[in-house]
Amino acid sequence: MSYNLSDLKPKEIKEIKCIRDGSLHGKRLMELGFLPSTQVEMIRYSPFGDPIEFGIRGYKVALRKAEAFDVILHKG
Amino acid sequence: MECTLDAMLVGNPNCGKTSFFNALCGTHARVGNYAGVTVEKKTGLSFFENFKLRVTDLPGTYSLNAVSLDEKITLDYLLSHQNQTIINILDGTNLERNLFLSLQLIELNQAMVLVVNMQDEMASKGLQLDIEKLQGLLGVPIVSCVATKKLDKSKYISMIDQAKDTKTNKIVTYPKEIIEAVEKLAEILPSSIESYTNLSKKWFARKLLEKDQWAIDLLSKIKNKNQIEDILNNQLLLIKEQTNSEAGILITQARYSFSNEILSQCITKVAIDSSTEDKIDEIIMNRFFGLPIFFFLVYLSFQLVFTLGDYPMGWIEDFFAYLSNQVLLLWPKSSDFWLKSLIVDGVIAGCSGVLIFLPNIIALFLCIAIFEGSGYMARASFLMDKLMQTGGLNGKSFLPMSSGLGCTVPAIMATRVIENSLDRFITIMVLPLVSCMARLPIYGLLIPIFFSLEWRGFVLFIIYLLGIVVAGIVAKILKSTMKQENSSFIMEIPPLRLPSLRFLWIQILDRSKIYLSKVGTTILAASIVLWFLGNYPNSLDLDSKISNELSNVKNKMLSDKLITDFDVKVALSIQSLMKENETKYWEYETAFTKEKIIIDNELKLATKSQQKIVSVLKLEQKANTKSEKIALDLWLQYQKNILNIEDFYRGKRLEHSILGKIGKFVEPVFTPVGFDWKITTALLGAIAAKEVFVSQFGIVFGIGEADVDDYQELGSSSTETRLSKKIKSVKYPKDHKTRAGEKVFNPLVAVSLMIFCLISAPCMATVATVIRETNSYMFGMWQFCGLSIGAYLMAFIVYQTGIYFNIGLV
Repeated sequence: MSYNLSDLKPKEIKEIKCIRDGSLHGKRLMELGFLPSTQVEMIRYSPFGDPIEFGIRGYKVALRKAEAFDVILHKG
Repeated sequence: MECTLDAMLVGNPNCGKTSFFNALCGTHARVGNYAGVTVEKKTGLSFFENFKLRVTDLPGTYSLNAVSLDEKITLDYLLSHQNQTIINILDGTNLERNLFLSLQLIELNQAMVLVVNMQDEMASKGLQLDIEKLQGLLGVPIVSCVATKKLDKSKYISMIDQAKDTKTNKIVTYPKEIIEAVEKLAEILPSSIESYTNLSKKWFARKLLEKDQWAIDLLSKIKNKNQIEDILNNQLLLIKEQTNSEAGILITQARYSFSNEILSQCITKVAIDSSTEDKIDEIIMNRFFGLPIFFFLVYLSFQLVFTLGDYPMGWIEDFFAYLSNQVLLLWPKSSDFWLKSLIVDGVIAGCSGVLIFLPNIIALFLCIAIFEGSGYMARASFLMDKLMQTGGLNGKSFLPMSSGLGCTVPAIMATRVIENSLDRFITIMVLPLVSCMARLPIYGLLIPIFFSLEWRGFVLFIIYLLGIVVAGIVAKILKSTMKQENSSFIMEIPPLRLPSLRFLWIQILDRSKIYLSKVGTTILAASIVLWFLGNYPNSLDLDSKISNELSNVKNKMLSDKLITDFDVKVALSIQSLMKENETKYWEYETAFTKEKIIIDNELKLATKSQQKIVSVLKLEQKANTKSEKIALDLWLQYQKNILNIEDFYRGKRLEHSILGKIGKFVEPVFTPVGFDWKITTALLGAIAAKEVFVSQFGIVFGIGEADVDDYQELGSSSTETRLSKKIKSVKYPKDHKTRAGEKVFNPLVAVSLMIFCLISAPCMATVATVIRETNSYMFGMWQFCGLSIGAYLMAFIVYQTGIYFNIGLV
């Protein structure tokens, strides 16, 4: 079981390991700065838990769980 | 000698390209604090000394790998206009990601300048940028600015002029595996690729390694396509083996680390407490309170539409009542022909009926401008994504849909930001269900008549909400019938910003301009056409009917012993005099009511030429003050009767006109939803433009006629408009088959009518836009027919349910 961006709880900050192979929106995510060794903060859930707001490289971006699932994090 | 410069604005979404464009060209192109406001290219001109700068504003993009339709527009323009100078706008508060795009632009080897925007916000965030150092590192001219403030044009124009000959050769340092692969690929690429793209083989090879769709599509045009593809796949495998990573990732990573490295040398950050925004976000985006707050804000906006709009509406109405009176008074007595009626009953009644709602529109768009300028809109679509998904839509549909509150046409174009083509298509199909500002007057007219002030905002909210709910249901149905694609929601949440007064002012001004120009064009033309259709053929001899009715009235009053025969004579003689010289009548009336001057001398002076004056004078001399008063009262009653009689015959005339015949013909179809033939004629007009419904309503229910009572009421600001008074009292004729003598309107009819207008067929401009954006006549027609039928069904259900349960009938 991989540890993904969608597993983060509010206020948690973790480092990205990689983008899942074959991810549909992987390219866009990388262009937005979701790259290996980048720190991401989970800011908050939306009212129904999906999408989720993240902080990365000094700005904020909302992703759905499905997209966040494609970003794999380092544990610990 | 004049020197023409061509340039284009490129940059990340929401970095201020359009603000810069507006500041440079003095235009008012739409701006807002969220990504995706600009979805098409716009060209503007800016002059300074002997320079003429032609600058094109483009939709924002995160990279040169276009995903959505608006990004493709930018990429296509960029690659087909390589002789132009790129003005790359950067959001100074987010330089790392913005520079990522700049590095790709630099690789295009075009003339280029960098404009670092939002200096003010950088300062408040404690960011200090060494511009000279950055310029040295990138080899591109760089300036900073605050695009929302006034710009010193000369600085930018001369810089663009100088930049056109300088090109930088600065390039990202890619990993050696990438460099090797690029070289191998470039070797076998035919030189035709250079003439296709105007760019180097190496650049194209790198694009291929990135698996860029645009490059792969272009590859299919090349002869030795298979050979290239084989080598490309080999190289991709090789890179994977050597680095355990994808080529695309390596390239993106190399650019980001390059951007990072450069910035670390020229940016310093002073720690500043920036928790205010976080605190506000903690409330408005709260998981539990976020949605209730959102709905409350929307409700508040709608309530504001009525409370803010009320007084100015009264003023505008008074002004037009005064205007039609003036026209009637100043019109030469002898020439009572059709043009007078066209001006008063057609043009003034039609246009004023629509203009009255300008204050409502301003109030609504003030609220929307605050939402858009502050960054709340993007937050709302974050809050709403899941709800929209359950309705078969996408959170990204929220922004086009909120812009649909203004006008459906630009809203349909705004759907270009939705990457997923099915989501985009569905959004286009249901967008007309979002009430545009042309439909606001319909609600603004009907709601105040049947609902008390504290309920109006709520009812309006429910109507808008109903539109959204129906949109959701339709979208869900559409989605279930089509093949599912994978939809996504990747949306930047912009920083919260306080919208400036100037921004709010421009937003309101632009909306008002659009609304007013529509009144001056479409509505005016439709009013004239509908007036003719409503007045011709003129088969009734109106005048003789009226005089017959008048003598009937006189006889009735005599038999009721309300007045003496003598009074009638006085009044009638005055009246006949008046009929010949209406202008003079008003002078008499003023004399009577205000100063009570004896009218003898006035009469003598005023109507010397008239022979009848003699008899009148004799009568007048005999009459004492009391009988004068009675005569005047009688006159006023007569006037009222004339108006009633005229109204009646106008109704008859309308009934026999082309429009009336159509309305009557269609009436049975609309009886089950509660509309009479007059409402039906207004609905027909609404197909051209929704506002025409209200203007035609004004015409068929007779707002244009100068009313004696109205004339006296001038200046009293009643919250109830004259039209609404009339609407409340209109009844079905006594010879009506099923509803003789019943009131035409009750709350149920009003609700049924509003629901019908909410859903019914989109206007012509919308149909045309849907056809253009979907590239299909069929979809436009489907939508038109589907919504028309849907509107009828919804109104039918609501009306019949109301009748059954006896709701809203009084």
